Amino acid sequence: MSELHDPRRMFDSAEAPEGLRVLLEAAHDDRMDADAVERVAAGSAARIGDPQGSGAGDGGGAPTQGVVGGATSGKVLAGIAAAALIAGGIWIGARSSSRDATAPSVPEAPVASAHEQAATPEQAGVQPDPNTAFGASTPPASAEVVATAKPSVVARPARSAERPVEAEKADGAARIEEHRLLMAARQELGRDPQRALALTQEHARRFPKGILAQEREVIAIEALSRMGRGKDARDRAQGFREQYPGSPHRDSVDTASKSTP
Amino acid sequence: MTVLPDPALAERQQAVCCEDVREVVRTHGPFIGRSLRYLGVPEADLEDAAQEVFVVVHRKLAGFEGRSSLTTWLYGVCTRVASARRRRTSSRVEKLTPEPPDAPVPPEQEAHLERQESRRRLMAVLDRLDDDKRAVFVLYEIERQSMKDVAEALGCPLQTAYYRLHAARDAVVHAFEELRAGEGRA
Repeated sequence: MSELHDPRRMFDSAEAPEGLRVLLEAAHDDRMDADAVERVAAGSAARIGDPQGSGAGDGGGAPTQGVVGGATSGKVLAGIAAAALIAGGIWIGARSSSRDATAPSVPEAPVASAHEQAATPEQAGVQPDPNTAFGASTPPASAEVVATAKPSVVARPARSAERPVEAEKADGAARIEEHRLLMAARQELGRDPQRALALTQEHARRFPKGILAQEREVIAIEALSRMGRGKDARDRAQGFREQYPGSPHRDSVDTASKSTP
Repeated sequence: MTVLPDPALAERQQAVCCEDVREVVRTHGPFIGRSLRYLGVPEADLEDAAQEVFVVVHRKLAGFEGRSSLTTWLYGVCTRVASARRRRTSSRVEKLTPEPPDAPVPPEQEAHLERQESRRRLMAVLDRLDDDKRAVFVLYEIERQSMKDVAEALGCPLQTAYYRLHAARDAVVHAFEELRAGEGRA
């Protein structure tokens, strides 16, 4: 279903209480501040790059505030990540096994329980309309079932069992290559935006269905802007907004595309 | 099934390190921090939780099948990290240290105080939701993701996501009206 069919968001709907709309608007603008992001960046790099986990447990590279329990889990994660790298072994394969083994403190996303699955509007013969007045509508008959059903974790079929190991390896290698190509493009932005743009074109050619398409576009728009091609940057930014209306990178795109006349 | 180590891949994975990670965090950190906050991670744990997200992302990048965009995937990791942390917090019998108070704010920083107050009020409302509904509500109403991406991030059918959103909206409005009534009485 496309964005066009999504219900109007509450912050933008006259049917939602005004005070709530204000809170939701403020929440959207409430991003992590730059200083905190830098601390997270330093701490993440320390956890990943330091096999002894010196930056993880004690906050080494990134002092975290009042850690209550979080540092411990970080140390465990860092240890696992480092151990995996040191051993030269990357877990690429079967989702079922890699999930259990590599993310002990990160549970699976809850999958709709049988109750929920059965109680979806179509199946229950009820059509909840999220556009109706908020809080004024009577919950559909099956709402209670959904509300009281405990989120259960239903084992998903192990997709990797259907996928050849070589395909899994190729996927992993592609992800890393894709990432590195765009990192190189980003690093070129400051000194050679033309080169940065060329790298994004290479990315588009080599990874037409890549997972970093949004990130690629942000870099390309900024490169165009830095090259003084303001109209091209704005046109591309407009295309970005249409293709990714809910992108969290939208602010960066807006800033980049407006910085050159 | 575990795949035997691939040295070449391991080498490349190792190269995606440190400086690259910093760049990824700088690009995505601002909204990752926001989503963790409204998904219910305590303010004192926020930076640690964000680090945890990026460590998980780094570790799993090679195994990511690319069935969704990176941002959608990141949101999925966020919801799982936040959910695990909320569970740990609620099940913790004894805290080693009291919840640290917010940093003292000079009275003149009115905007900061207003933001704190907005957070407090919205958290009071969101805390009434269970994890599943909260995740859908936060990703759609605050992060402004499409419902298709929300369903992908959470690994649930689209119709289920719509249903949770509907139920979450009703619960949020109800909780907000109660909050307002309580404030009026105080």
